[in-house]
Amino acid sequence: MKKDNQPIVENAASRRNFLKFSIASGALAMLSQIGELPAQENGDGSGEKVRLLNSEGKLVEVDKSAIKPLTENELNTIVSENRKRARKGIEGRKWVMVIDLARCKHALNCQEACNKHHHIPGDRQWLNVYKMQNAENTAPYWMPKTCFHCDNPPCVSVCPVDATFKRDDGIVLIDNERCIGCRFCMAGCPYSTRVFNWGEPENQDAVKDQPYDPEKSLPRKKGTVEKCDFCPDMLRMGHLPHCITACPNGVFFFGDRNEDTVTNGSETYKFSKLMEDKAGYRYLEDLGTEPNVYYLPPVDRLVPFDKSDNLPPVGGHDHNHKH
Amino acid sequence: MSESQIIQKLTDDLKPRKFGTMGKLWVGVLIILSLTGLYSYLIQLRDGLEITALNNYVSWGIYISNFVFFVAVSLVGSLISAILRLSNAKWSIPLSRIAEIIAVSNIIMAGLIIIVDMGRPERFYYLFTYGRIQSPIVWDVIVVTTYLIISLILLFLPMLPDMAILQKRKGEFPEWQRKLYKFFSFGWIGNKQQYAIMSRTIFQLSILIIPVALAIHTVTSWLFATTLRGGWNSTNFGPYFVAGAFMVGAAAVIAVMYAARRQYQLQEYITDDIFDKMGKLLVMLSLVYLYFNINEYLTPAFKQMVGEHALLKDLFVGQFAPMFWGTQIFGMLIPIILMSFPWGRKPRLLFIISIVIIVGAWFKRYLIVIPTLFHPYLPVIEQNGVPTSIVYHPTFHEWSITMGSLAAALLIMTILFRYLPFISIWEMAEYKGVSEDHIQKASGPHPV
Amino acid sequence: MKNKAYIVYYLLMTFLILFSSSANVYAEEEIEQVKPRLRLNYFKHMDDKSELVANAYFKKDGEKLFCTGAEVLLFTSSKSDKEYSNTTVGEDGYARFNFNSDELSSFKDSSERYSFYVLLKESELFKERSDQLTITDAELKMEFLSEDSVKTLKVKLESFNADSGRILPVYRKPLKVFVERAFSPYPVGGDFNYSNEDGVVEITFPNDIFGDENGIITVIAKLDEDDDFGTIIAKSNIDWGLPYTDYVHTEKALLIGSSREAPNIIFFGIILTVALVWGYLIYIFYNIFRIKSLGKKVV
Repeated sequence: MKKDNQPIVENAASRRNFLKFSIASGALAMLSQIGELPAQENGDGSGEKVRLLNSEGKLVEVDKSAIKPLTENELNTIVSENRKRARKGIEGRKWVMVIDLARCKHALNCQEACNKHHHIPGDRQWLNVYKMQNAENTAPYWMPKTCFHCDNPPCVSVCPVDATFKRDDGIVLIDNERCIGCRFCMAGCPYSTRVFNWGEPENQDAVKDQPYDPEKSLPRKKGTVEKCDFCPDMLRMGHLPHCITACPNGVFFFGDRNEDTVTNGSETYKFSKLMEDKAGYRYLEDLGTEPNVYYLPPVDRLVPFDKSDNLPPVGGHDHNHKH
Repeated sequence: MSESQIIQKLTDDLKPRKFGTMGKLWVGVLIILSLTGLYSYLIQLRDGLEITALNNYVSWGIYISNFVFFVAVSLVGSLISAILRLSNAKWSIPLSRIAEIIAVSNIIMAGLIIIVDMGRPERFYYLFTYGRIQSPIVWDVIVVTTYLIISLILLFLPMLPDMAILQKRKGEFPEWQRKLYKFFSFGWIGNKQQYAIMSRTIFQLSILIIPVALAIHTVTSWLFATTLRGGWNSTNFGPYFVAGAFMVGAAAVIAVMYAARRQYQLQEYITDDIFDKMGKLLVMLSLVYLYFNINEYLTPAFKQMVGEHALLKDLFVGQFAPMFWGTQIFGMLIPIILMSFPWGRKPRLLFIISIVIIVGAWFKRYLIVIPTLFHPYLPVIEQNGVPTSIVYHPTFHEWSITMGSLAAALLIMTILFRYLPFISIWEMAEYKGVSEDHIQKASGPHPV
Repeated sequence: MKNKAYIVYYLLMTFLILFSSSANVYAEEEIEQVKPRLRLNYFKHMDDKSELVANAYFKKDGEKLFCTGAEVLLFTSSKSDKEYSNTTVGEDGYARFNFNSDELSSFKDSSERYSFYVLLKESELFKERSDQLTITDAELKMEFLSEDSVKTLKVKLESFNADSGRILPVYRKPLKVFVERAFSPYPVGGDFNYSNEDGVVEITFPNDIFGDENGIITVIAKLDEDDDFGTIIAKSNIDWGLPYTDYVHTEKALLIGSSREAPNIIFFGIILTVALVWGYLIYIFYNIFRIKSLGKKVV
């Protein structure tokens, strides 16, 4: 089934008025009292207004007194609905990412935006930018790396409890209400993408009370695994993932493989043509994992690789080849 | 000596006896170590795996290598009690129950230590309720459970006549102990039909346990071999693990039987000849393991493929070199040389060699699990953009839990040794030529 | 000793007072009104909806910040004293006014053009600011021609000319064509297409664009931010796309794979093996209990 012109908000109506959490600063204080929007928004209240993001992704202002804390039951219903929805994926889509290595200047805005929006504690990253050099006499380049959301994900193959799964839209997601913390997926992933909540995760005050949604990977849970999730919560609202919109150099392209189109927000290309014209490739293709993240080789770079940076270069597979 | 006198003497010699001071001290030390481990585990339950040195690169540590060690040691139950039993090696009769006790205690600890490694142990039952049958962990759960059940049956079923004999000895044991024997004699009165069922069942289980035992360690090796990582990505892993397990298991049997012989003065039953034979067996198993080691390291070292070259360098000349050559030389090569000579198979030296082999085997598992994780395909990066080296130094709590689990395995063994006849009385009687009728009579309901 | 303590006390107090007063001064500076910038844009959607968008922002330390919350008034002309409508600037820095064609007619001036006057009201934070925009109404039309396998799209721009009193084609305007996609529309037909004397841009439509299961795609024609006409957007659905087929990777891992359900061979193989072994173990348990019952019978 293919959608027509609507944005990708899937059954917005049936999702009722469950409040999601605002990414706007003002609403963060309210997160512990998330409730349902009452029918009347302009009752007599304390006069104090709070801004929250509703299910359609619109910012609404409600009176503070109108927000009732959710009961245990309501909360469980939301969480179980979220978990059910997260397994299906967004209908008709097949997400694909293209990373143009020629454009990356190691600005790290992608990482910053990712960390901010996913409330990532200081001990880990979902998105890394590697300094790569395939051989001693070849040019070094920066390589941003998200989760590759492989079509043959080794992490999913080994999971004993179906806690991490491959969705129809291509995203490999984790349900941390299911994860038993065996870390077989971490051993299984050849790209060292997965990170673990070894202890109680730090700096989670802002998100720890929201109902769990695997599509946000929040709130995180001690003893479970997590990783880059392609921001399915943003995709559902028809927005690009955070790393893509944050990149000042337009390095990241994202799109629907079924539409054969990728965009970095300002430029939009035909995916297959881009691959053909620029000789796109996938990292460690020989492992047979079939990643959904493609790279464009670092050729014809506008800005040369910053040689003043005195980090020791690290090679393709073999980082121990230090000089 | 008449046949009934032989049984009488055997029972006197082999019945469970109280520990002396050394025995009590030993139990005390084990209890303290186990409790320390338990304390550390309680802290881990509260704070999470944060208290370990595990990190996002080295995500499996000594809990997992210790698990592999336990599984390896437990394999010996099938070796002695099944393979030797089936091959009619009568000299191994006094060892079969010892081997089974080792198997049971280690497989129990293997099951427990894998729960210790879990980030959310309270969800352990998800493996049964949401299990994905394609996952090697689920296979491992299935085969480990099966192996535990078969090992328990193989421990207790051949003990029915002994239990029946012991429960008749009023006044020699506390009443609760005698009641326990009566319970575990399971209505054994030594009639022909019971005897027939028991013999047949033991024989069938001895066959069944061989594939199951091979499965537990092969599946355990697949936890590594099914991943795309240098050093683990090996087709050699199943037999390599099994060979190593037989070697450490045989060493464990030697160590335990030496200790038991000393404790209970059983030179008459666990003879020097048995040590000699076990020594020869151990040499043979070590040579097999040596062969697999050469297989495992020579071919990748010859090719120096990118994914493995750094790992091998780290093992051969890098940070893991002392441990690697230590385990290979002291844990394998020197024992092989020493045990090739008759004097090297004398009980005391063989005991020392066995202990060294066991310690080496523990570190060998460390070397199989951990160094691979130091060498991911992608370069190592830390958050500030500066590549730093991967570090893994197990913490106090990690060691404490690991030592505690090892102590707990020994404690289970010790308790079983204290309260069970660890050398089969009736099988020894049979071995010494006592007729089936007499054994039946001795274990029957009437006083002898 | 006591005197010394007093001196320290007074020094401290003086310092505190000084510090707090300087903090006050700083705070006052903070509240100083900023001079916002206001930019008007007019959007005409060809399905009878028009939108006037006011972008209100200011620059501070080189950073662009939005005048979120500022009140914006819309007048039919700069002389009018009664506002037509009002709204506030949203989180994204935009204030939006929507009109249908009837509502638009209130803005018509003598030369049949729409003129808008927008005022950002003075507040504690912002100084007053105004902007006006005059727009000539125009129409953007699409015509789909298909001959053999060559698909041609004609986009035509026309406008009412007050002098001649007739609707005339608009010459030399850049008209862009896109296909609607998940995030941002995909451009087709090249970058710089200016309308000819007939007000027409003609492009050969590509044959390799994926549509829905019937090959239906949404084509967008656009005149972007024109000084005379504002932005005009026309949308139309046409079955010019390739019928969509879900992109499925064909070479799934053969043996194990990542799906929830195991491949049959694995599933039945394992279940059968486990069932055999455990079935046999149950038989063994049965035998052990037979030993027990045999013992009871004789006694």
